[in-house]
Amino acid sequence: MLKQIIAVTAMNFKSLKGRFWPSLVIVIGMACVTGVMLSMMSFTVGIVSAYVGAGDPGNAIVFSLSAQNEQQSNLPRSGFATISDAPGVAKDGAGKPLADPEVLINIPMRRKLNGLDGTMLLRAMGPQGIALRPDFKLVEGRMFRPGSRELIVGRSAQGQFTGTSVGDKVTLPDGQWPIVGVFTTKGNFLEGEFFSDLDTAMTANKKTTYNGIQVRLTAPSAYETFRRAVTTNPALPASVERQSAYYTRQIAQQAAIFDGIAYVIGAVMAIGAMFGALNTMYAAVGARTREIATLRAIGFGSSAVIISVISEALLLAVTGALIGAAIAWAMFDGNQKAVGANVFYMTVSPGLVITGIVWALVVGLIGGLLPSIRAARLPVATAIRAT
Amino acid sequence: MKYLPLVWAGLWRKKTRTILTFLSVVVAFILFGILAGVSGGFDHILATSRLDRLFADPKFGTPVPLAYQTQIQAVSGVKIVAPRMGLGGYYKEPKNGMGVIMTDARFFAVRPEVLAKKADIDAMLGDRQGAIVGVSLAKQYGWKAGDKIPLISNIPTKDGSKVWTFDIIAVVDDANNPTQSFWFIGNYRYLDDRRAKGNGKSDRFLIIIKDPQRATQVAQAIDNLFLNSPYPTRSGSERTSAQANLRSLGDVNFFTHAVIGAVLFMLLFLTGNTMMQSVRERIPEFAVMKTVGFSDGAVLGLVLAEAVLLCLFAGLTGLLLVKAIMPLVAARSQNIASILLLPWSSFEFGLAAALVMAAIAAYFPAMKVRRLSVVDALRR
Repeated sequence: MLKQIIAVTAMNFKSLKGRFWPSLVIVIGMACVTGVMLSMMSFTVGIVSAYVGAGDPGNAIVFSLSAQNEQQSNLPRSGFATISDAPGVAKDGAGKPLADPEVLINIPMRRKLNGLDGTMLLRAMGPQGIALRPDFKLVEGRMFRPGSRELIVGRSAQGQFTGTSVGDKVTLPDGQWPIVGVFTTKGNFLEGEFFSDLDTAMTANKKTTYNGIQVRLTAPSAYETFRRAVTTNPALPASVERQSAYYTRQIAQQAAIFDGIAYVIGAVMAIGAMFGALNTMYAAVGARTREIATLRAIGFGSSAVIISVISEALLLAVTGALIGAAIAWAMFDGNQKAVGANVFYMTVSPGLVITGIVWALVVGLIGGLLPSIRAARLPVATAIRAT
Repeated sequence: MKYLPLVWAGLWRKKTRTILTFLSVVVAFILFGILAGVSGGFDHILATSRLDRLFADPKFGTPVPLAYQTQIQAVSGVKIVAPRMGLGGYYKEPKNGMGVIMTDARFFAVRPEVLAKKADIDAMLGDRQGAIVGVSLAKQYGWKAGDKIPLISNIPTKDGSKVWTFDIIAVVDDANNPTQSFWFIGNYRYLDDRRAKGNGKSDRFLIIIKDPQRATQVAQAIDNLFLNSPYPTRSGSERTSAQANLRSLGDVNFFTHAVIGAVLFMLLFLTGNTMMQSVRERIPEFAVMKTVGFSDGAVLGLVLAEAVLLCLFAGLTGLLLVKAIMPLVAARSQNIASILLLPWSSFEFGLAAALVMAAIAAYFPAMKVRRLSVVDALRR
């Protein structure tokens, strides 16, 4: 049985050359489907990994009560001491708690791509801010000095906005702040922002409250202890969330929408490609009517014929999917994109390639199944006489 | 035209093949229609955003003093200035989030597309808690004129209550987006009387200018007024702002064109393959036709006509399906409704694309038939 299947399938593949153009329809169809779908999904993979990469389950973030994100949150300064002394907060070598308040400020900027208005985020941080961002690395210029009106800028942001080189000046409410350095954070979303000193930025923007407090936990398991200590303190109207969970939540909804669009477009195209595959495989079976009838007459089983036809369709579809994935990878992998204030890199991940292959298998299976059944059901006596 | 039965018969020679090809072209054009709809929706947003309507927004996000309105009004070229302040809240459950535009009579002069009658506007202004809402919003929550609507908002109030009650004075449509009106407009003084913080501030001034050609200059003049104040502004026309917003979503045009390109490329091979198969089977028939006097050009035309007829018909079916389904989708989701719009004009482009695609796909099969030597073909 297995021998039969292998024999018929091998014979099929050998005769593929003679059916080059019709077979190309399946390959090209599937290449278009996966090319389009994976290009779109590489966008989501990129934006999601920019957020997920920034989150650490060993960190927690504190907001004001009922705030959904850092932007909506405002925490009074007075609560900071209590929060940084709460149980579960890690301490640095000098015995100081690893907790840091942050303030976010929108900075109007101009986009490089089209000269249109855009917005960047300035994240102003206190003395422990950098210690809490282990991915942070200064790659050009110098660090901002506490108490000075100066900024450092992320490497990714430089690709998207004009006026972001060291020495350029950025307009803040109290005047022009020079950029003194450039940093990287392993490509996560923080690399699309400005960083500066907390107190100076708060004075400049007349802000009196913090947007959030970042905290390093003694261990990821210390989260519950810390959360309970903060949320049960009546003097602190604050809520706590694990940093990794928070960043994932920030992007989940957007990612679901982008992925949804990719799936809908991919599915519609795949249905089109499937009709094309059916057509090709019916033609392939039709062209080999006599050959198949002969095989059946000399004792090959119908399942061998069915499997050989389906494997031909699968092989063609998967080839197409790999070509599509390669095109998507060549065109978009590593491209820098900016959506709103988010800067990230499109990524054609191995997971996406597998998604593409799975889709190809489904299209190939459906496209091969009906024609293969027709092939297996051919009445041998009449088919063998077919011209 | 007299050859139509012949073309038709040629198409139906192998039913399965024609139906499968037809279906894949239909599916591809459904996608084409959806994408053209997205493009159309974006074009509509740009077309209805006016060049002579400026927005003066706080440069750093913090609301600016209401008193700016007098200075802006004095800028040369400015016709009307309307301040507003957004009140964010929700109705019953946090998932029913909505923003109320807290403003005054001038807003309706700046946004004539809000189809509120003079009497309704006056009634709203006369009632501190009065509100005018859009038809779609009212329909979504089952509101009607005369209803009292409590909204929950987290902004601090003088009395400590989070509930803001609005009296619906009128339910109105939007001239730019008929049946898609989501406006919720209330009185600025209701907000300012009650809020505990940020009184006398505005988060946007809407400005109508006399000459749309001078939008950039007027915007610049407004920004210059407040350049060195603690609350600078960032002004620009509604058109530029819409462009920037759409662009910030990513390059939608590139995206739609790339997908449409990939779809047409796929169809090209698919249809080409179908025609090639069909022609190959009919070589003897074409030879006979040539023998009885059909010219080379005529048989070439017949093959082209078959492909074109099939693709045009399938393309039209796909586009009509999208056109028929769109209102149903729009009725379910306001987010989609606001960006999907398939004007009849995109049918022209779609059908032209189908025609060109069919002609290219059928070119090689048709040439094969044209070059066919009768003697050789009949001998087969």
